[in-house]
Amino acid sequence: MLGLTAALMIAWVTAMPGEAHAEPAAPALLPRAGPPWPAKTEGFKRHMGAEALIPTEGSPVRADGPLVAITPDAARGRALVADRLKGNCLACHAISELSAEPFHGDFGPSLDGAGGRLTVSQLRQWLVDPSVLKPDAAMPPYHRSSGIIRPYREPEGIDLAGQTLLSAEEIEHVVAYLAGLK
Amino acid sequence: MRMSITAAFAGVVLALAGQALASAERLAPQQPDHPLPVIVSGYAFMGVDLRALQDDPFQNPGQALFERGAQHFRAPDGRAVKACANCHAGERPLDGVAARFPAYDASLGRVIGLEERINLCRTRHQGASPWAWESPELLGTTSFVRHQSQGRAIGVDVTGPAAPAFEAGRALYATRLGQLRLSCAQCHDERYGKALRAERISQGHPNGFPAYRIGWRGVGSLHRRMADCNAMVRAEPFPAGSEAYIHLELYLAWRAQGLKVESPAVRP
Repeated sequence: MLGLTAALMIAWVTAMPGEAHAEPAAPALLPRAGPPWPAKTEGFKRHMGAEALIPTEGSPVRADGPLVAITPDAARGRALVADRLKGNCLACHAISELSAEPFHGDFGPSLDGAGGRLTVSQLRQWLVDPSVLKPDAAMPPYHRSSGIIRPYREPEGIDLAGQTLLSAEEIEHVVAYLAGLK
Repeated sequence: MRMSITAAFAGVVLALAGQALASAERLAPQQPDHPLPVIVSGYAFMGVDLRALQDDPFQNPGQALFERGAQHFRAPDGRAVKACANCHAGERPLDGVAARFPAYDASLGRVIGLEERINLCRTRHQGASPWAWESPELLGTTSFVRHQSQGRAIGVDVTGPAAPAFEAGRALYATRLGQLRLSCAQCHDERYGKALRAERISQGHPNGFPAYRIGWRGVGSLHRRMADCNAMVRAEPFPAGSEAYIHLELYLAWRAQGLKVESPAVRP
Protein backbone atom coordinates (compact mmCIF):
# COMPACT_ATOMS: atom_id res chain seq x y z
CA MET A 1 0.00 0.00 0.00
CA LEU A 2 2.87 2.30 0.87
CA GLY A 3 4.54 1.48 -2.41
CA LEU A 4 1.35 2.11 -4.31
CA THR A 5 0.78 5.46 -2.64
CA ALA A 6 4.36 6.47 -3.26
CA ALA A 7 4.15 5.44 -6.88
CA LEU A 8 1.06 7.53 -7.33
CA MET A 9 2.74 10.48 -5.68
CA ILE A 10 5.83 10.09 -7.81
CA ALA A 11 3.71 10.04 -10.93
CA TRP A 12 3.99 13.76 -11.34
CA VAL A 13 2.70 13.54 -14.85
CA THR A 14 -0.49 11.59 -14.92
CA ALA A 15 -2.11 12.55 -18.20
CA MET A 16 -3.08 9.52 -20.27
CA PRO A 17 -2.30 9.29 -23.95
CA GLY A 18 -5.55 9.70 -25.71
CA GLU A 19 -7.53 7.55 -28.05
CA ALA A 20 -6.10 5.78 -31.07
CA HIS A 21 -4.58 8.05 -33.67
CA ALA A 22 -5.95 8.47 -37.17
CA GLU A 23 -4.58 5.96 -39.63
CA PRO A 24 -2.78 7.23 -42.72
CA ALA A 25 -4.60 7.13 -46.05
CA ALA A 26 -1.99 5.02 -47.79
CA PRO A 27 -1.33 1.78 -45.93
CA ALA A 28 2.11 1.56 -47.50
CA LEU A 29 3.18 4.67 -45.61
CA LEU A 30 3.96 3.35 -42.18
CA PRO A 31 3.55 5.73 -39.30
CA ARG A 32 7.18 5.80 -38.24
CA ALA A 33 6.26 7.89 -35.30
CA GLY A 34 3.07 8.74 -33.50
CA PRO A 35 1.91 12.31 -32.97
CA PRO A 36 3.35 14.27 -30.03
CA TRP A 37 2.24 13.07 -26.63
CA PRO A 38 -0.98 14.62 -25.33
CA ALA A 39 -0.67 17.89 -23.47
CA LYS A 40 0.30 17.62 -19.83
CA THR A 41 -0.32 21.23 -18.98
CA GLU A 42 -2.72 20.43 -16.16
CA GLY A 43 -0.27 18.02 -14.59
CA PHE A 44 2.49 20.60 -14.73
CA LYS A 45 0.28 23.28 -13.27
CA ARG A 46 -0.54 20.95 -10.41
CA HIS A 47 3.11 20.24 -9.95
CA MET A 48 4.59 23.69 -10.40
CA GLY A 49 1.83 26.11 -9.65
CA ALA A 50 0.82 28.51 -12.40
CA GLU A 51 2.78 31.37 -10.88
CA ALA A 52 5.99 29.44 -11.38
CA LEU A 53 5.68 30.03 -15.10
CA ILE A 54 6.72 33.67 -15.07
CA PRO A 55 9.46 34.25 -17.65
CA THR A 56 12.75 35.62 -16.43
CA GLU A 57 15.18 37.81 -18.30
CA GLY A 58 18.66 36.39 -18.83
CA SER A 59 19.37 34.24 -15.79
CA PRO A 60 22.81 34.58 -14.24
CA VAL A 61 24.64 31.28 -14.21
CA ARG A 62 27.24 32.60 -11.78
CA ALA A 63 25.85 34.10 -8.59
CA ASP A 64 28.45 36.38 -7.08
CA GLY A 65 26.13 38.15 -4.67
CA PRO A 66 22.47 38.45 -3.73
CA LEU A 67 20.29 38.07 -6.83
CA VAL A 68 17.93 40.76 -5.65
CA ALA A 69 17.96 43.36 -2.88
CA ILE A 70 15.37 42.06 -0.44
CA THR A 71 15.35 41.09 3.19
CA PRO A 72 15.37 37.30 2.92
CA ASP A 73 12.81 35.47 4.98
CA ALA A 74 13.98 32.08 6.27
CA ALA A 75 10.43 31.05 7.17
CA ARG A 76 9.34 31.71 3.60
CA GLY A 77 12.39 29.74 2.44
CA ARG A 78 11.41 26.83 4.68
CA ALA A 79 7.98 26.72 3.07
CA LEU A 80 9.52 26.81 -0.43
CA VAL A 81 11.86 23.93 0.47
CA ALA A 82 8.96 21.78 1.65
CA ASP A 83 6.55 22.80 -1.12
CA ARG A 84 6.28 20.09 -3.78
CA LEU A 85 5.14 22.70 -6.28
CA LYS A 86 8.20 24.86 -5.64
CA GLY A 87 11.59 23.73 -4.36
CA ASN A 88 10.49 20.14 -3.81
CA CYS A 89 13.88 19.73 -2.12
CA LEU A 90 12.72 16.77 -0.02
CA ALA A 91 12.26 14.70 -3.18
CA CYS A 92 16.05 14.24 -3.12
CA HIS A 93 17.29 15.49 0.27
CA ALA A 94 16.46 14.62 3.87
CA ILE A 95 16.12 17.43 6.43
CA SER A 96 15.54 16.32 10.04
CA GLU A 97 14.07 19.65 10.99
CA LEU A 98 11.27 19.00 8.43
CA SER A 99 10.59 15.45 9.62
CA ALA A 100 6.87 16.22 9.83
CA GLU A 101 6.88 16.18 6.01
CA PRO A 102 6.62 12.62 4.63
CA PHE A 103 8.96 10.86 2.18
CA HIS A 104 12.37 12.47 2.20
CA GLY A 105 14.53 11.11 -0.62
CA ASP A 106 18.19 10.14 -0.45
CA PHE A 107 19.12 10.98 -4.03
CA GLY A 108 21.32 13.79 -2.71
CA PRO A 109 22.99 14.27 0.69
CA SER A 110 21.09 15.23 3.83
CA LEU A 111 20.86 18.98 4.23
CA ASP A 112 21.24 18.81 8.00
CA GLY A 113 24.05 21.18 8.91
CA ALA A 114 24.22 22.63 5.39
CA GLY A 115 24.54 26.14 6.83
CA GLY A 116 27.58 25.03 8.82
CA ARG A 117 29.29 23.33 5.88
CA LEU A 118 28.73 25.99 3.23
CA THR A 119 28.88 29.77 3.18
CA VAL A 120 25.91 31.84 2.09
CA SER A 121 27.48 32.52 -1.31
CA GLN A 122 28.25 28.82 -1.80
CA LEU A 123 24.66 27.91 -0.91
CA ARG A 124 23.39 30.50 -3.40
CA GLN A 125 25.63 29.17 -6.16
CA TRP A 126 24.50 25.59 -5.47
CA LEU A 127 20.90 26.68 -5.90
CA VAL A 128 21.36 28.97 -8.90
CA ASP A 129 23.53 26.60 -10.94
CA PRO A 130 25.51 23.82 -9.22
CA SER A 131 27.51 23.10 -12.37
CA VAL A 132 29.65 26.17 -11.60
CA LEU A 133 30.90 24.41 -8.45
CA LYS A 134 30.68 20.80 -9.66
CA PRO A 135 30.35 20.23 -13.41
CA ASP A 136 28.79 16.77 -13.10
CA ALA A 137 26.43 17.63 -10.22
CA ALA A 138 23.04 15.97 -10.66
CA MET A 139 21.21 18.74 -8.83
CA PRO A 140 19.04 20.89 -11.10
CA PRO A 141 19.90 24.56 -11.55
CA TYR A 142 17.11 26.45 -9.82
CA HIS A 143 17.77 29.80 -11.44
CA ARG A 144 19.21 29.09 -14.86
CA SER A 145 17.37 29.42 -18.14
CA SER A 146 20.19 29.35 -20.69
CA GLY A 147 21.74 26.26 -22.20
CA ILE A 148 18.73 24.07 -21.48
CA ILE A 149 18.26 21.29 -24.04
CA ARG A 150 14.66 20.60 -25.07
CA PRO A 151 12.88 22.57 -22.33
CA TYR A 152 9.38 21.20 -21.88
CA ARG A 153 6.82 22.73 -24.19
CA GLU A 154 3.50 21.95 -25.76
CA PRO A 155 2.22 23.19 -29.11
CA GLU A 156 -0.46 25.34 -27.54
CA GLY A 157 0.32 24.89 -23.89
CA ILE A 158 3.07 25.71 -21.49
CA ASP A 159 6.59 26.49 -22.64
CA LEU A 160 9.43 26.32 -20.12
CA ALA A 161 12.01 27.83 -22.48
CA GLY A 162 13.65 30.83 -20.80
CA GLN A 163 12.06 30.08 -17.42
CA THR A 164 13.61 29.11 -14.13
CA LEU A 165 12.54 26.78 -11.35
CA LEU A 166 12.64 29.50 -8.69
CA SER A 167 12.58 33.29 -8.93
CA ALA A 168 15.44 35.47 -7.66
CA GLU A 169 13.45 36.36 -4.54
CA GLU A 170 12.65 32.72 -3.87
CA ILE A 171 16.32 31.77 -4.18
CA GLU A 172 17.23 34.36 -1.51
CA HIS A 173 14.56 33.06 0.86
CA VAL A 174 15.76 29.45 0.44
CA VAL A 175 19.39 30.50 0.95
CA ALA A 176 18.38 32.18 4.22
CA TYR A 177 16.63 29.02 5.39
CA LEU A 178 19.51 26.69 4.44
CA ALA A 179 22.08 29.02 6.05
CA GLY A 180 20.22 28.51 9.33
CA LEU A 181 20.60 24.71 9.22
CA LYS A 182 23.59 24.44 11.52
CA MET B 1 1.73 -4.39 21.90
CA ARG B 2 0.04 -3.05 18.85
CA MET B 3 3.13 -0.99 18.09
CA SER B 4 5.37 -4.01 18.34
CA ILE B 5 3.14 -6.05 16.00
CA THR B 6 3.21 -3.21 13.48
CA ALA B 7 6.95 -2.90 13.88
CA ALA B 8 7.42 -6.64 13.47
CA PHE B 9 5.26 -6.63 10.35
CA ALA B 10 7.23 -3.73 8.90
CA GLY B 11 10.41 -5.62 9.73
CA VAL B 12 9.23 -8.72 7.88
CA VAL B 13 8.21 -6.64 4.86
CA LEU B 14 11.59 -4.91 4.80
CA ALA B 15 13.41 -8.20 5.19
CA LEU B 16 11.45 -9.72 2.30
CA ALA B 17 12.15 -6.69 0.12
CA GLY B 18 15.83 -6.85 0.94
CA GLN B 19 15.90 -10.57 0.29
CA ALA B 20 14.26 -10.13 -3.11
CA LEU B 21 16.85 -7.55 -4.10
CA ALA B 22 19.60 -9.76 -2.79
CA SER B 23 18.31 -12.90 -4.49
CA ALA B 24 17.37 -11.13 -7.72
CA GLU B 25 19.15 -12.18 -10.84
CA ARG B 26 22.45 -10.27 -10.93
CA LEU B 27 24.20 -10.42 -14.23
CA ALA B 28 27.74 -9.41 -14.85
CA PRO B 29 27.83 -7.27 -18.02
CA GLN B 30 29.69 -8.93 -20.87
CA GLN B 31 30.65 -5.77 -22.76
CA PRO B 32 33.89 -4.08 -21.66
CA ASP B 33 32.38 -0.60 -22.12
CA HIS B 34 29.18 -1.37 -20.17
CA PRO B 35 28.37 1.36 -17.62
CA LEU B 36 26.97 -0.88 -14.87
CA PRO B 37 28.86 -3.15 -12.45
CA VAL B 38 25.88 -5.50 -12.30
CA ILE B 39 22.61 -5.73 -14.26
CA VAL B 40 19.39 -6.02 -12.22
CA SER B 41 15.81 -5.96 -13.54
CA GLY B 42 13.40 -3.24 -12.43
CA TYR B 43 11.42 -6.08 -10.85
CA ALA B 44 13.92 -6.24 -8.01
CA PHE B 45 13.48 -2.54 -7.20
CA MET B 46 9.73 -2.92 -6.62
CA GLY B 47 8.01 -3.64 -3.33
CA VAL B 48 6.63 -7.08 -2.50
CA ASP B 49 3.10 -5.96 -3.38
CA LEU B 50 3.95 -5.07 -6.97
CA ARG B 51 6.13 -8.13 -7.48
CA ALA B 52 3.27 -10.33 -6.33
CA LEU B 53 0.93 -8.52 -8.72
CA GLN B 54 3.24 -9.22 -11.66
CA ASP B 55 3.86 -12.84 -10.72
CA ASP B 56 0.20 -13.89 -10.48
CA PRO B 57 -1.31 -14.19 -13.98
CA PHE B 58 -4.79 -14.05 -12.46
CA GLN B 59 -4.05 -10.69 -10.85
CA ASN B 60 -1.54 -9.16 -13.27
CA PRO B 61 -3.43 -6.14 -14.65
CA GLY B 62 -1.45 -6.32 -17.89
CA GLN B 63 -3.04 -9.66 -18.63
CA ALA B 64 -6.25 -8.31 -20.18
CA LEU B 65 -4.45 -6.43 -22.94
CA PHE B 66 -2.15 -9.41 -23.43
CA GLU B 67 -5.21 -11.64 -24.00
CA ARG B 68 -6.51 -9.09 -26.46
CA GLY B 69 -3.18 -9.28 -28.29
CA ALA B 70 -3.49 -13.06 -28.42
CA GLN B 71 -6.89 -12.65 -30.10
CA HIS B 72 -5.49 -10.18 -32.64
CA PHE B 73 -2.68 -12.61 -33.36
CA ARG B 74 -5.18 -15.29 -34.36
CA ALA B 75 -7.79 -13.09 -36.06
CA PRO B 76 -7.70 -12.85 -39.89
CA ASP B 77 -7.27 -9.24 -40.98
CA GLY B 78 -6.62 -7.00 -44.00
CA ARG B 79 -7.20 -7.55 -47.70
CA ALA B 80 -5.30 -10.84 -47.51
CA VAL B 81 -7.67 -12.03 -44.73
CA LYS B 82 -4.69 -13.57 -43.00
CA ALA B 83 -3.89 -13.85 -39.31
CA CYS B 84 -0.43 -13.57 -37.79
CA ALA B 85 -0.92 -17.18 -36.72
CA ASN B 86 -1.27 -18.33 -40.34
CA CYS B 87 2.43 -17.68 -40.88
CA HIS B 88 3.59 -17.95 -37.27
CA ALA B 89 1.96 -21.23 -36.25
CA GLY B 90 2.54 -23.32 -33.16
CA GLU B 91 2.57 -22.67 -29.46
CA ARG B 92 5.39 -20.08 -29.28
CA PRO B 93 6.16 -19.40 -32.92
CA LEU B 94 8.05 -16.19 -32.21
CA ASP B 95 10.04 -17.55 -29.28
CA GLY B 96 13.16 -15.42 -28.87
CA VAL B 97 12.31 -12.91 -31.60
CA ALA B 98 11.36 -9.99 -29.36
CA ALA B 99 14.60 -10.44 -27.39
CA ARG B 100 16.53 -9.48 -30.55
CA PHE B 101 14.64 -6.19 -31.17
CA PRO B 102 15.22 -3.35 -32.04
CA ALA B 103 16.97 -4.66 -35.13
CA TYR B 104 18.27 -3.33 -38.44
CA ASP B 105 15.82 -3.84 -41.31
CA ALA B 106 17.67 -4.10 -44.59
CA SER B 107 14.64 -3.30 -46.74
CA LEU B 108 14.01 -0.03 -44.87
CA GLY B 109 17.68 0.71 -44.29
CA ARG B 110 17.22 1.59 -40.64
CA VAL B 111 16.76 0.15 -37.16
CA ILE B 112 13.15 -0.61 -36.22
CA GLY B 113 11.43 -1.68 -33.03
CA LEU B 114 9.05 -4.57 -32.51
CA GLU B 115 6.01 -2.32 -32.89
CA GLU B 116 7.08 -1.24 -36.35
CA ARG B 117 7.99 -4.83 -37.24
CA ILE B 118 4.42 -5.87 -36.38
CA ASN B 119 3.04 -3.01 -38.47
CA LEU B 120 5.28 -4.07 -41.38
CA CYS B 121 3.71 -7.51 -41.26
CA ARG B 122 0.30 -5.89 -41.34
CA THR B 123 1.02 -3.78 -44.42
CA ARG B 124 3.21 -6.26 -46.29
CA HIS B 125 1.53 -9.56 -45.60
CA GLN B 126 -1.99 -8.85 -44.38
CA GLY B 127 -2.80 -5.87 -46.56
CA ALA B 128 -4.00 -4.10 -43.45
CA SER B 129 -3.34 -0.58 -42.26
CA PRO B 130 -0.76 -0.10 -39.53
CA TRP B 131 -1.91 0.24 -35.96
CA ALA B 132 -1.31 3.53 -34.21
CA TRP B 133 1.20 3.84 -31.40
CA GLU B 134 -0.31 3.25 -27.94
CA SER B 135 -3.47 1.82 -29.47
CA PRO B 136 -4.71 -1.22 -27.52
CA GLU B 137 -4.26 -3.31 -30.69
CA LEU B 138 -0.57 -2.50 -31.06
CA LEU B 139 0.15 -2.60 -27.31
CA GLY B 140 -1.69 -5.90 -26.90
CA THR B 141 -0.07 -7.60 -29.87
CA THR B 142 3.39 -6.32 -28.91
CA SER B 143 2.79 -7.60 -25.40
CA PHE B 144 1.73 -11.00 -26.75
CA VAL B 145 4.71 -11.29 -29.09
CA ARG B 146 7.13 -10.23 -26.37
CA HIS B 147 5.59 -12.76 -23.99
CA GLN B 148 6.59 -15.51 -26.40
CA SER B 149 10.19 -14.60 -25.51
CA GLN B 150 9.52 -14.58 -21.77
CA GLY B 151 12.57 -15.88 -19.96
CA ARG B 152 14.78 -15.41 -23.01
CA ALA B 153 17.87 -13.27 -22.62
CA ILE B 154 17.88 -9.91 -24.37
CA GLY B 155 20.57 -9.79 -27.05
CA VAL B 156 20.56 -7.20 -29.82
CA ASP B 157 22.95 -6.67 -32.70
CA VAL B 158 24.51 -3.20 -32.50
CA THR B 159 27.24 -3.81 -35.05
CA GLY B 160 27.47 -3.09 -38.77
CA PRO B 161 24.55 -1.06 -40.13
CA ALA B 162 23.00 -0.78 -36.64
CA ALA B 163 26.11 0.86 -35.18
CA PRO B 164 25.24 4.50 -35.98
CA ALA B 165 21.80 4.13 -34.35
CA PHE B 166 23.40 2.53 -31.31
CA GLU B 167 25.92 5.34 -30.93
CA ALA B 168 23.15 7.93 -31.31
CA GLY B 169 21.19 6.16 -28.56
CA ARG B 170 24.22 6.05 -26.30
CA ALA B 171 24.78 9.79 -26.84
CA LEU B 172 21.15 10.65 -26.09
CA TYR B 173 21.33 8.56 -22.91
CA ALA B 174 24.23 10.70 -21.67
CA THR B 175 22.73 14.08 -22.62
CA ARG B 176 21.46 16.35 -19.85
CA LEU B 177 17.93 17.29 -20.87
CA GLY B 178 15.23 19.64 -19.74
CA GLN B 179 14.91 22.33 -17.12
CA LEU B 180 16.26 19.91 -14.48
CA ARG B 181 19.32 19.19 -16.68
CA LEU B 182 19.39 15.48 -15.91
CA SER B 183 20.66 12.74 -18.19
CA CYS B 184 19.39 9.16 -18.14
CA ALA B 185 22.85 8.11 -16.92
CA GLN B 186 22.82 10.40 -13.90
CA CYS B 187 19.83 8.54 -12.44
CA HIS B 188 19.98 5.05 -13.90
CA ASP B 189 23.76 4.44 -14.05
CA GLU B 190 25.03 6.57 -11.20
CA ARG B 191 22.22 6.63 -8.63
CA TYR B 192 20.04 3.55 -8.99
CA GLY B 193 18.84 2.24 -5.64
CA LYS B 194 18.53 5.76 -4.24
CA ALA B 195 15.11 7.12 -3.35
CA LEU B 196 13.22 9.96 -4.99
CA ARG B 197 10.61 10.54 -2.30
CA ALA B 198 9.71 6.90 -1.54
CA GLU B 199 10.39 5.39 -4.96
CA ARG B 200 13.63 3.52 -5.58
CA ILE B 201 15.28 4.48 -8.84
CA SER B 202 15.83 1.38 -10.97
CA GLN B 203 18.51 0.80 -13.57
CA GLY B 204 16.01 1.72 -16.27
CA HIS B 205 15.90 -1.57 -18.16
CA PRO B 206 13.39 -2.17 -20.98
CA ASN B 207 12.75 -5.87 -20.34
CA GLY B 208 9.25 -5.51 -18.85
CA PHE B 209 7.64 -3.30 -21.52
CA PRO B 210 4.92 -2.93 -22.65
CA ALA B 211 4.12 -2.86 -18.96
CA TYR B 212 1.21 -2.08 -16.68
CA ARG B 213 2.30 1.00 -14.80
CA ILE B 214 0.59 1.93 -11.56
CA GLY B 215 0.94 5.65 -12.29
CA TRP B 216 -0.80 5.14 -15.65
CA ARG B 217 -3.46 2.79 -14.39
CA GLY B 218 -2.92 1.04 -17.68
CA VAL B 219 -0.49 -0.59 -20.07
CA GLY B 220 1.95 1.57 -22.03
CA SER B 221 4.94 1.21 -24.30
CA LEU B 222 8.59 1.71 -23.46
CA HIS B 223 8.43 4.92 -25.49
CA ARG B 224 5.64 6.24 -23.31
CA ARG B 225 7.80 5.47 -20.28
CA MET B 226 10.69 7.38 -21.87
CA ALA B 227 8.35 10.30 -22.56
CA ASP B 228 7.35 10.38 -18.89
CA CYS B 229 11.01 10.35 -17.82
CA ASN B 230 11.64 13.26 -20.19
CA ALA B 231 8.64 15.18 -18.86
CA MET B 232 9.75 14.55 -15.26
CA VAL B 233 13.03 16.32 -15.94
CA ARG B 234 10.90 18.93 -17.71
CA ALA B 235 12.20 18.16 -21.16
CA GLU B 236 9.99 18.04 -24.23
CA PRO B 237 9.36 14.34 -24.95
CA PHE B 238 10.00 12.86 -28.38
CA PRO B 239 7.01 11.27 -30.14
CA ALA B 240 6.40 7.54 -29.75
CA GLY B 241 8.21 5.59 -32.44
CA SER B 242 10.50 8.52 -33.21
CA GLU B 243 14.02 7.90 -34.39
CA ALA B 244 15.38 9.28 -31.11
CA TYR B 245 13.43 6.76 -29.01
CA ILE B 246 14.28 3.85 -31.33
CA HIS B 247 17.96 4.73 -30.96
CA LEU B 248 17.55 4.99 -27.19
CA GLU B 249 15.66 1.69 -27.12
CA LEU B 250 18.51 0.00 -29.01
CA TYR B 251 21.04 1.35 -26.53
CA LEU B 252 18.88 0.24 -23.57
CA ALA B 253 18.53 -3.25 -25.05
CA TRP B 254 22.32 -3.50 -25.44
CA ARG B 255 22.70 -2.25 -21.87
CA ALA B 256 20.24 -4.92 -20.66
CA GLN B 257 21.95 -7.71 -22.58
CA GLY B 258 21.41 -11.02 -20.83
CA LEU B 259 18.43 -9.81 -18.81
CA LYS B 260 15.32 -11.94 -19.26
CA VAL B 261 12.20 -10.66 -21.01
CA GLU B 262 9.38 -10.10 -18.46
CA SER B 263 6.24 -9.25 -20.35
CA PRO B 264 3.58 -8.32 -19.35
CA ALA B 265 5.33 -6.76 -16.39
CA VAL B 266 4.07 -4.45 -13.63
CA ARG B 267 6.04 -1.33 -12.85
CA PRO B 268 5.53 1.48 -10.32
